Amino acid sequence: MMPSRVRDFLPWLLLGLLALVAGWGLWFPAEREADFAFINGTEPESLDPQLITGQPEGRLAAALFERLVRWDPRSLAVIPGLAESWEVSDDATRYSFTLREAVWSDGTPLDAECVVASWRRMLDPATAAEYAYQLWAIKGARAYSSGRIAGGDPVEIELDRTDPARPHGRGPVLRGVASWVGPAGRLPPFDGPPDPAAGRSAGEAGFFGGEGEQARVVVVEGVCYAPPDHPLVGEGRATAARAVLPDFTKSVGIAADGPRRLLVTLEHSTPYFLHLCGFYPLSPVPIHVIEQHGSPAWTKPGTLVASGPYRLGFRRLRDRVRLIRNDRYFNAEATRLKVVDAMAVESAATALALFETAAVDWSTTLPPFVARTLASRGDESLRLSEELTIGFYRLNTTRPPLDDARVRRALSLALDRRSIVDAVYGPGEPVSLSFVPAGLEQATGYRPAQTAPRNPDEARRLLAEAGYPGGRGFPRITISFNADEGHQMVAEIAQAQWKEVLGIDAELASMEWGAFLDSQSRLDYWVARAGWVGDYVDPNTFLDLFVSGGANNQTGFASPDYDRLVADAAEATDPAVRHGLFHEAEEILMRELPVLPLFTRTSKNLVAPWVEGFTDNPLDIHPLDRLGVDAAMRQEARRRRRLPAGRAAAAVGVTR
Amino acid sequence: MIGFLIRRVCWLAITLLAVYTATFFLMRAVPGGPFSAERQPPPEIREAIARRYQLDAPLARQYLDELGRLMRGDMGMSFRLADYSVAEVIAEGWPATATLGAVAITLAVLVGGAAGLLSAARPGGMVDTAVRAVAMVGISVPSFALAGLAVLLVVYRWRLLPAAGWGTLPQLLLPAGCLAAVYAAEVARLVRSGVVEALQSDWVRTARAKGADRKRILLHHALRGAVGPLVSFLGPAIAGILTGSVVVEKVFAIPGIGYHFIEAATQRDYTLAMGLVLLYTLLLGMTGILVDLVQAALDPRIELQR
Repeated sequence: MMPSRVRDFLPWLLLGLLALVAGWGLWFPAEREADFAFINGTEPESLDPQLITGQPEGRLAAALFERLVRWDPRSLAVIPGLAESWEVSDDATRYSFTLREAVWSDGTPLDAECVVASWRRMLDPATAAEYAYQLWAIKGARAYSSGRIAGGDPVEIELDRTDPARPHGRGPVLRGVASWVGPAGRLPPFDGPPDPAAGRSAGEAGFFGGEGEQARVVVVEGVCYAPPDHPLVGEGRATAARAVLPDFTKSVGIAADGPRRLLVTLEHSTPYFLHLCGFYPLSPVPIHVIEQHGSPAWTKPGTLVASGPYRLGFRRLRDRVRLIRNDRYFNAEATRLKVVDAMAVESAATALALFETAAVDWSTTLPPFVARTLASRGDESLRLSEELTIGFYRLNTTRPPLDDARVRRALSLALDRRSIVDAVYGPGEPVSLSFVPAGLEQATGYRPAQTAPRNPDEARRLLAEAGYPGGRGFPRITISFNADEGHQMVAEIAQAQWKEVLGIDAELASMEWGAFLDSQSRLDYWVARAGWVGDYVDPNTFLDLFVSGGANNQTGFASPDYDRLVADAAEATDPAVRHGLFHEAEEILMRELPVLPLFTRTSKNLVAPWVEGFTDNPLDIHPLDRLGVDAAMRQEARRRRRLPAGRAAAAVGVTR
Repeated sequence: MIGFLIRRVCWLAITLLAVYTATFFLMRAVPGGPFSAERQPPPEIREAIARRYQLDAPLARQYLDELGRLMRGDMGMSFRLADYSVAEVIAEGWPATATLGAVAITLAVLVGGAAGLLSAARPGGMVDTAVRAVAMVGISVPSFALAGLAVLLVVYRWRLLPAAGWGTLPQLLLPAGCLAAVYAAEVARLVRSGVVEALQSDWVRTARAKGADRKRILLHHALRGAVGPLVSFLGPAIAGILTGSVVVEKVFAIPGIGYHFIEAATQRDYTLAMGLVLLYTLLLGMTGILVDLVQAALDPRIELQR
């Protein structure tokens, strides 16, 4: 038992402790205010440009890492970046880039070797870069990134040894021809000359897949190589190696010719390859830093070395990434904003509140339905631009009666897309009758093929022809979507229109994101909401989705004609021929309708009146080094926590 | 007391193992994985990603591997915040959450305690009715509604405080206030009922008979009656507040761990979700033990038996 004085004292002690914690936490370091702050959306997954896929990450990567080429935010044309100039062979399969004299922010030169090493890292299966396939247009790249080798292939062996000077670099690399590949259990006797035919089991992945005795081993020029934990290594019968991959220098079409020339050979002509070179995952990364510190340690502030207009100041999780002008960037004089904060704000309502109180200069997100209100008020901060994005419904063509093209066509003809878009996203937002967004025509000249517009009589006729007159006998189908007010409204209207025109009953299923994606990839749905953002400015990024068995097809649609047209288009060099082939393919798609295109989306940005150099474009790219601010106007607004007068105030959507 | 501690710590360890097992299998039973996305990469790349994160190993193997790692105190790398380990995520989010929570709890105890005491001084009086009404509202109004209202008035209408963010004192006020409101209401109710009950007890009557004045009776004698229930309430409340308030952290864009919690679950960030669930379990268990110890210290009638 405690003396009573201690007992009296105890509650006060607890309170005092709490106050102390509060006081300790309230000690905030003073930081310089940024010259420009913008809402970047969700917390970036990584700062490693090779590991990311999202827009918030892309905006940061574009500021930190220079690409071979850049996209002009006005014309979307390819303009010089790290590469000063380039030449393309007549058959459009060989590219020769001349690099400018560039350095990393630590002063290390950024030469052609660095680009080669970066792209090799991106393709290395151990990196597990999700966007590695963006490099697959390059000869041998796909085989390298899947690590498939067979007996007789030239291979590179990374030994399991660490160079103290580069603790996180690759081990020493040996090259040779593999004479045998397979599980150790089937290893042929070592005496006698290796027989290449014995190991010619078609395409086996390097060391991956299998553990212990089952793991594959590779025999190269009489020496057996196995993973470090393999029993054969313990017995001294094999040399420990981390990986065996196709020989990069021999099989992949990426090479440096001196410090300033990069040579790239493609599998076949790929018209959008040059454009791809401006896509952020293809940015060269500081290999010298990665080999020193390892991944992901190299992305930490103080360690990360940049090549773009900005370097990394600091990063606070779920708060901000601070960017500071990189004075070693070749065009540093033209970069006007010195200190930029990219704020990670998940809630769109919070982002709006920050923008409205002049705490940020640009917001990339808007709460649902707020754009409609702002647009109707003529708010000049709201910047809309049609994007290369399609919103559509997937139909499960493996599930009767949706396996009948007449039924799918009837569903499409019964929809009044205009009224859906007007009700949900506001008047003036574009509808789409084609899968390739119409906005692509301006940039590439490709004219999308359209499906027929609303026609209730024809819809009813087709449904009757398919055996369901007036919807009789039609099963109850489900429209599934990930939980979101906008998706819900679209589905409700589609449900009503199908009921009214066709007499079909559809129920709605609002699903959690992971479960929703899972149901689509398992083809366990009737009708599912979907969206697709173009990766590059070319119809291929939309149309290659629906080749038979494609990972993103997810409709069960398979058409040999379609596959052939898309494959032929990939090989075609003449733009007119190519677009013709794509058009034919899209005509099939819009006739068979495994997907119902609904609308193209618009990018919605809120931009404060003092921001200069902000250009609306369909790719929604706004390079930070092109932006500036009217500092006096900005300061005044920040002081008053109010955007300049004369602008319609917008206290809307706060509770959403 | 040593025996008590040993027993409780053993129970906590068993609880942690059970929570680990349930979380591990539940997370993997839910459809979708950490790398499912609207845009599916080609199969070769999906394989490479699964290999890198050891998602291709048999489930039992994954279960044991992860358990072994956790036993060594290694919570692994976050799947969806790829530049950070789980420990780093927690270490970065902790100060913000703890600061916000400590300020909110302190506010709640001071404001709620004072209100409860005033209310108990004259049960049924005007002050009492008002406090009870406000407390009722405070308990029933969900914090997202309260936060929305606060933003609408303080940020949009009066432009008094910053809308969101973290790093300066003004940015702390609104979220701490919103978070404190709910707890303050609860504290007020507890203190009021504790004090009212104590005022009717024999020992208060004795004190009054001996001539103690009202102030002394309230503060010195009756208030003690409220301390016990208050401590029982504050234990779990502190554990809860230290793991972060999901709503308040989201609305006010506060870089705390409460927000990571929800994101980790929805993004299927297996390692981060596991780390946070175990952390929460540990905190809850430890505050439970602490509350029992404090209760025993405060009230000699309580014995540390079980």
